[in-house]
Amino acid sequence: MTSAPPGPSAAQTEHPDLDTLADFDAGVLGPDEAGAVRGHLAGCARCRQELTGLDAVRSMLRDLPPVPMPPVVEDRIFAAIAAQRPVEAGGDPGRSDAVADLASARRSRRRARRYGLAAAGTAVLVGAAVTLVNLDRTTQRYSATQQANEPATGASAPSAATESRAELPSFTRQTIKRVPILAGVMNGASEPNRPEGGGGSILGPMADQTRRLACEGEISRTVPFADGPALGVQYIRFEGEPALVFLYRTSDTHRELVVVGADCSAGAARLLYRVAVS
Amino acid sequence: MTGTPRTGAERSDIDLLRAHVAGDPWAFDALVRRHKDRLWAVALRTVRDPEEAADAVQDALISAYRAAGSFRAESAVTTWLHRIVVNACLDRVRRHASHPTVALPETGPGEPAERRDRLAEQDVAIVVAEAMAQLPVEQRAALTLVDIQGFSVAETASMLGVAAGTVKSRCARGRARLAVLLGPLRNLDAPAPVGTASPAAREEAP
Repeated sequence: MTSAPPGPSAAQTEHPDLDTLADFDAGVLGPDEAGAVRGHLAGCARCRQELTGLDAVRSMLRDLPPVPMPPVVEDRIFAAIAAQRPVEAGGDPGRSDAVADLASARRSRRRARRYGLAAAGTAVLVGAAVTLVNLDRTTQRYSATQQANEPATGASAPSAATESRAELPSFTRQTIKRVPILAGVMNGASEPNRPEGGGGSILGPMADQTRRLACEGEISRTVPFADGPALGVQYIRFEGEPALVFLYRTSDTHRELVVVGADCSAGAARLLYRVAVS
Repeated sequence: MTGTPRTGAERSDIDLLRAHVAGDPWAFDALVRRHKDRLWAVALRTVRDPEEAADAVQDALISAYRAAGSFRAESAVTTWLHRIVVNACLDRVRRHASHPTVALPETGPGEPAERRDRLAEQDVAIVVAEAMAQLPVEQRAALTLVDIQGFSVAETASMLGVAAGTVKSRCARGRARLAVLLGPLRNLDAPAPVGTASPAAREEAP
């Protein structure tokens, strides 16, 4: 409803240019100049329209959809932060979890070679501490993962080798973040070859897919991520008892280890421990 | 100066930063997780190239990780994080001033002629991003912080290390340029108001 036509009254002052109008709008003009523009605007529909255009720009910018950080950037940034993190609080700042884990990953690869797994042991660092080992389905053997489970820092040594149930790698709350989780066994892939002499299993009771799905269903009821299936699972001994550790992606940023009793099945999942890993 | 109570599960930014300085290995992650999307938006809109933006954010956050001990509570943690990120971005853009910018990742082949009546939100976002690419980086950063991210002029001035008046004036110039560049887009969205002719039309009138 603009009524004042551009005419003699508005022409008394020159139309301010768009930059000046924008400056006026942003409140950066001095009092004299601002007063002149205000006076001009009162009689000039065209310049009022220009001002409306500046408002429209502002609301367009305000209404832009958010631009969330892509997961690939997130992973990269959290990995970079993890590389800064000291091994223990107050520990040697020159070392970091990432370094320690790379070292343990290297050891694991060396061991893998010793077990005839030369090509299989590409280690991928998941966040700070969890090593996600690529699985070569034709050659991978469980013993490699099992043996890779030596503490890198000497803190609370797992004693898998000396326990009677030596086939289950042993972890505690302190060491669980170092559990190697095999990727690739979850998505319909068959259990990798096992050493002829027996030994452990990656999936353990979860080798039965129906039971695994039931167990995951139970977990999702207890632990509300339900953001897709687990990335991986490992049959372990946790604080002395047979258990399953699942790795979940809990958000674009984060993963979480969920430890449940090995008796996990439909209707029963005993949550033993859960811990976030970046 | 005001002590922040440590009640509730959600720790405040400053609590997280202090915990980080005190050696809590996960506090900084939590802080970054809380702000990452906003920091990313600022970086991507300022730098435009996703790779460069990722590098800038990463470098900035590593600096922040290390420099957290020197944080002074005279500004908010958010302001501090944004300051570090936006400066890393400005440095990069200035250093690589000759590099061509790359469109935002959501940009697809646009055929504006086919949808005259109503542009989807996504299309508007692309057109706006492309228009912003034509602004000097200082204006782009100021507009991103004030008009897109909703920071106050004072906060933005603190992030950019310039006077409030400078922020206002950068925003003003940026808006003026965008008004010209985006004028046609506005006209597609809403019919021109009655009683206002374009300057050209007026000149042609008898």
